[in-house]
Amino acid sequence: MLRRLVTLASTVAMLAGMVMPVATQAAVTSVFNPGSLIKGSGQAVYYFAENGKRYVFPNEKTYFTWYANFDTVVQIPDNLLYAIPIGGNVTYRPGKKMVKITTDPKVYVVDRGAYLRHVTTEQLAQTFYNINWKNQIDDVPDAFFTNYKMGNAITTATEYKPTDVMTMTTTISQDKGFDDTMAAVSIGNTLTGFVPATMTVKVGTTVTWTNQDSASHSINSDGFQSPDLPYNKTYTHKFSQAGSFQYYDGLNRTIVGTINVK
Amino acid sequence: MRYFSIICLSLAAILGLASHPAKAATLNAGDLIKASGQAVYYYSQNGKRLVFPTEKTYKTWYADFSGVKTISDSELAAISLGGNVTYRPGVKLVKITTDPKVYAVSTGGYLRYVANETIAAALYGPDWNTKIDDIPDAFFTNYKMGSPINAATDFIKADVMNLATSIDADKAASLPTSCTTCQTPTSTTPTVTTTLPTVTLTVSKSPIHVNEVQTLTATAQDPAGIQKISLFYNNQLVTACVSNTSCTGDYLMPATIDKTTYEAKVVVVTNDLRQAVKVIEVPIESSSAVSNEVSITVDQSVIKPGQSTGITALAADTIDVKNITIYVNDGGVKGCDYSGRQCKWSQVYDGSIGTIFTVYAIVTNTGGRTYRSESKTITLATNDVPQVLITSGPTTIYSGETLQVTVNGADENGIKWSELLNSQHVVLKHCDGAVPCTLVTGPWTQKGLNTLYGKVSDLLNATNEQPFTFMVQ
Repeated sequence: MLRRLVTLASTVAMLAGMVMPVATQAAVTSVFNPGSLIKGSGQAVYYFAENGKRYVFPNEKTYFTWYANFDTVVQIPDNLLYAIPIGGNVTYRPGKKMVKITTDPKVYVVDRGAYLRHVTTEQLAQTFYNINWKNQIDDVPDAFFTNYKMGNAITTATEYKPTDVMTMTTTISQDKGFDDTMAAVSIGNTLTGFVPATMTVKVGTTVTWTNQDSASHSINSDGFQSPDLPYNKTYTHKFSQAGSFQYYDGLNRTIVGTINVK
Repeated sequence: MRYFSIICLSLAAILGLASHPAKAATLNAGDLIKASGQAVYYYSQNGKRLVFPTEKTYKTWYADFSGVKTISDSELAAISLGGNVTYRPGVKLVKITTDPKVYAVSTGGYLRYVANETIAAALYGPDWNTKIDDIPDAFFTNYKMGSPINAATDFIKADVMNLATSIDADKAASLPTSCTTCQTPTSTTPTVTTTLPTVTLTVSKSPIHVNEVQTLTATAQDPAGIQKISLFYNNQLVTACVSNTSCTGDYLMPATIDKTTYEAKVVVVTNDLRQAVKVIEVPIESSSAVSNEVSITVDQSVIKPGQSTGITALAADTIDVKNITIYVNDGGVKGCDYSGRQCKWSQVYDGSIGTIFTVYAIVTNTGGRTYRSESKTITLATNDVPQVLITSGPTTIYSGETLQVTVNGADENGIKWSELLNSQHVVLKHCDGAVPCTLVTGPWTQKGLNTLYGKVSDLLNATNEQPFTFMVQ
């Protein structure tokens, strides 16, 4: 019995560690934007979302439903990565594949918002994914099944069109329902400063700063100024005009950040 | 190819054609179940099976695998998954691999950030750092974020453990009310019939020092138009601006100040005589005056470039501490907002040989008054001074008792000698070589705080001295 669970644990550990098979190391940067793929010195790759959090790819299969390769991943310093809280897990790109779990024979398609919809007949599966539909099924490990919600079962072919679903959901942010007029910056400690230190957003974007440090910090700029922000408190500012906006930390003026608005 | 055959094996039962009902009668809520596969599940009271994402999670709830019931694969398949089991509350501290923050697990899968080492030690013992498990990133989402633990009393470990009688009980429990730092939702403001003008007020300096100039800036906006903006500081009129939407004025702070805060105030009057007032309290920082109620110690005052060393700021118990901030070269590097008396910071110092960093701490009390420590320096040199570790059994003894004190040194060049000194820096014991230097001191009769010093020299004759304070009752 002991050996069995040990095996389970090691499988899980392997699945949870994203493989990053890229030999070429790009320069380490502190410049990234909502929608960027980021990593530290370790192997795991994360999706940096509009809410300022990083989302975990629970396994490589999940990653490859969204991206063909690792070309756009930027490496950031480890302490900056630590300052970005984990928001949750990335789920399969809707429409890309069908999924099931090892201990249940039911096959599901993935719909927008991480909904699983039971495919009730073989004919439906063939309509959606052609004659080779059996090759389009991935096993989702039990422990990641909780990242999905249960949608309505599919009984007719008109209820689901894989190509439409894929066109509607081209980014992880769209899948998770994030507002693309939002962006977020974490305030780490005085060594990490603002994370990301430089970020580019669209005109009309509202930026939220969240203090992740136990000490109070503040945002100070020409056009905007926050009160002292204790741990976990936030400050928001809407950027209605294009330009480059620099700001500094009230605790330590040498800690600066830039929001480029285009 | 192996992958394909696995798919084929399961094809027989695929697509929901196998809908055998589970023999639910043989299972009870709370049972541990498995089928022919390796994974063990918790059979929940809602009729679903819960996944143990890691073996460590399992081990927080169960000592072994006795009592696991084996059911058929089709029976297991008919029981839908209900989510993942989280750590049993109170048993362990957890963190994620890519974030050094340490959390206590509370009721209902809530994680509560442990604000400092003192609290961790108070809750989980001196060996608390051996009780931390790494949770894989991908399972962090199974937990919810609770309020931070800013004092040991914020988290009653025994209560939390007693509540978690089973996995179901833990899942059903809501967040306990012991969260003292949670924010109550702000109530909606009642509708007012007369709207007030929009007023902003900023001050150029907060906190402010003696002899500095404070610039007050106010803006006001209102559909009816602004008649007058008046700026006050310390209840004295600074300036007034008529028929203008903004107003600026300067105030020179006196050389001596007898209070802890100054009040900046703006009064705005609209053309239809509605009035709005806004006030900012500006704390006074007597940065020139060093308070002996705040001490600062530097572990190694001379280090090599690229080496790290620690700074500890300590506030005397005469101060009602709200915040301690450590400054390096006038920039704040670490703030401790929790209600402790001690703040620690460690960083790497880089630069050319001879570079000097100035460090000090400022303590703010709950009334907004600030206390500044003396300044100490960290100098970069080719040879760092040795580390001094000075320890005793208890740090509090009764009058008439003796105290055994040990001085240890550490340096990559080797230790030449170590010494124990009394409060007047008279050598009590000298030990040659790298051996620990131990002396039984006392008996101590003078009640109160006493200070001894440890001094260590490396083989290149660089010396370092550190104080050691203990209490005689």
